[in-house]
Amino acid sequence: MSTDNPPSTKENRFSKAVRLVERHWMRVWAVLVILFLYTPIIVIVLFSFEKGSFSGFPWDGFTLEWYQTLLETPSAINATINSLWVALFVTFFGTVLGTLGAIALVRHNFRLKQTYRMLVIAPMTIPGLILGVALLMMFNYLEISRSLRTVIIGQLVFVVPFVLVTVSSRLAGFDPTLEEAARDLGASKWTTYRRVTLPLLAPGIISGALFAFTLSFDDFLIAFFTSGVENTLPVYIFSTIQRSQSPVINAISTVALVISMLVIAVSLYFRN
Amino acid sequence: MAGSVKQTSDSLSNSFDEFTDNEYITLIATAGPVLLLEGIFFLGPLFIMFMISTMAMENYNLIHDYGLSNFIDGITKHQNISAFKTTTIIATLSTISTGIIAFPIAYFMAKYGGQYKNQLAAIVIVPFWTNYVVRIFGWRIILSKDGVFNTILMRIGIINEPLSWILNSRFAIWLGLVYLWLPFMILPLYSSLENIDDVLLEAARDLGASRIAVFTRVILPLSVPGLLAGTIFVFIFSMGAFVVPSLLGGGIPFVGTRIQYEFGFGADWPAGAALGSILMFIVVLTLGLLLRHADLEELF
Repeated sequence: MSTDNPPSTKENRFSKAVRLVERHWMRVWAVLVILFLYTPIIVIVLFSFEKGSFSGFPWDGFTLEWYQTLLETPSAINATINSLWVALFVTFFGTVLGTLGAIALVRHNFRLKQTYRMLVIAPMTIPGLILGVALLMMFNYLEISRSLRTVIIGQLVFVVPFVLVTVSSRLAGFDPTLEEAARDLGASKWTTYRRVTLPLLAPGIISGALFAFTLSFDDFLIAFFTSGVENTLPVYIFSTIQRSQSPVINAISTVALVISMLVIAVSLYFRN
Repeated sequence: MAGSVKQTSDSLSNSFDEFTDNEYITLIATAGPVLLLEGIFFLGPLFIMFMISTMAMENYNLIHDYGLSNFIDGITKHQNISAFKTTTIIATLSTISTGIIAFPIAYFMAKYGGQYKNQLAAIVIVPFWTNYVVRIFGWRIILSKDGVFNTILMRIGIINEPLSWILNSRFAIWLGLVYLWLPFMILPLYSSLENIDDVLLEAARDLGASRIAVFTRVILPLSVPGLLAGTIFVFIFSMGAFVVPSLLGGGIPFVGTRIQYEFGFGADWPAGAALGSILMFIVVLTLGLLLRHADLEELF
């Protein structure tokens, strides 16, 4: 069809109709997929307030009983506190190491850069199960006793690469002339770093840090294989599910969801 | 007092400048800690896993009796063969299903999302950032014998007896894996599709291409990097899944649960290490085949 002849109105109307159908079935599809993604979350939260002691319909009424029981269960509270501590340490070290590593990747040219990149990407693509059992064997072989400290080290192995890639994608879009301008105007390298580079990188570093926190807080596999007597929250939830069917699990699960959601809310706020 | 603070900050600044003038030193200071961490705690454990997989176990102690017998057991023992078979089939099906489910929503987000694009992407990513043990537990509640799914179906009157075959089945594992990894397929696909210039699609249509031809000859080829990035993640993580098969799969043989068993009740670490090494080999093979054409860093 040559562009000189405008398409007939009939044909135009037909393609408009096709476009409309295409757009609408995709919209319906999108809504269904999003519902699918949220279904188990909604179910857990709803049943944490349900009176009946098993999670099925019909709904027996609203109660806060399970949350009350939760407050009286020290092991659950300890697991939550452990998780928060571990996540805090992982966030701090993960952000520092990841940011430094990102600077090396974006700012420097060196011979083994491709190898370095591979070594950074690899821990993100290895299933947590393999990393978990491999770390378990190593700690055992070297006779390092398992504790929350070994969990922190294990989580850093896969968290640092995620932070690194997040920060480096911001760093790549960073205009180097801003730093040059500061240097030309007489700022020392240190001042330039503190007053120009860091503030510009801050959003990237913050989203990297929040990413690190959620990755650590949600991690189950590494903690499952590398923790000792002290458990993190996901490990606690997993082992409780195996033992009992109590709705208290729904309550502690909801607590875990709420903590994650809060961190996500903060990170979405910083992203915009 | 103020003077001395100023002085130390000056000398700090000077030493920082001197320090960073040396390209070699800054490289070591920035890349060094990461290399140290990944060298010791990523490559190290993998090396030890390979080593232990060639050892033997006697009375709960590793003995230095090196050999390949664990690997041979790993690929010839009946329960291992059936675990690898089931796992590969379910992982492949899950990968294909996530691709099919993800494509329309990714396309919708990229082409019709308009001003809400970022919000839509955020809505898709939020569940992904919440605890996956909790979310899979949610599916267990939904699928169990007296769970949400069955009670709703009975209420409506579609079934009279609760279906007991839904949970603890291959179907449940498939559902859990598709559910868990779907965002990993949607997001890279979305970013690939978003990069397609609308002008290309219009040009194809103006040149007389049918809608199907526009899809198969223009949209699909241009979405390959995203599709492959999604495939890498979904396939590898499904092959190595543990939480989904153990919470939703009942006793269905699965590689992840077999490995965990050897480290738990089985108490045969070399056998578990050999299975882990074989899985690792599959992961590296998948990466080697697909990584070159995929765009993993686009994900972030």
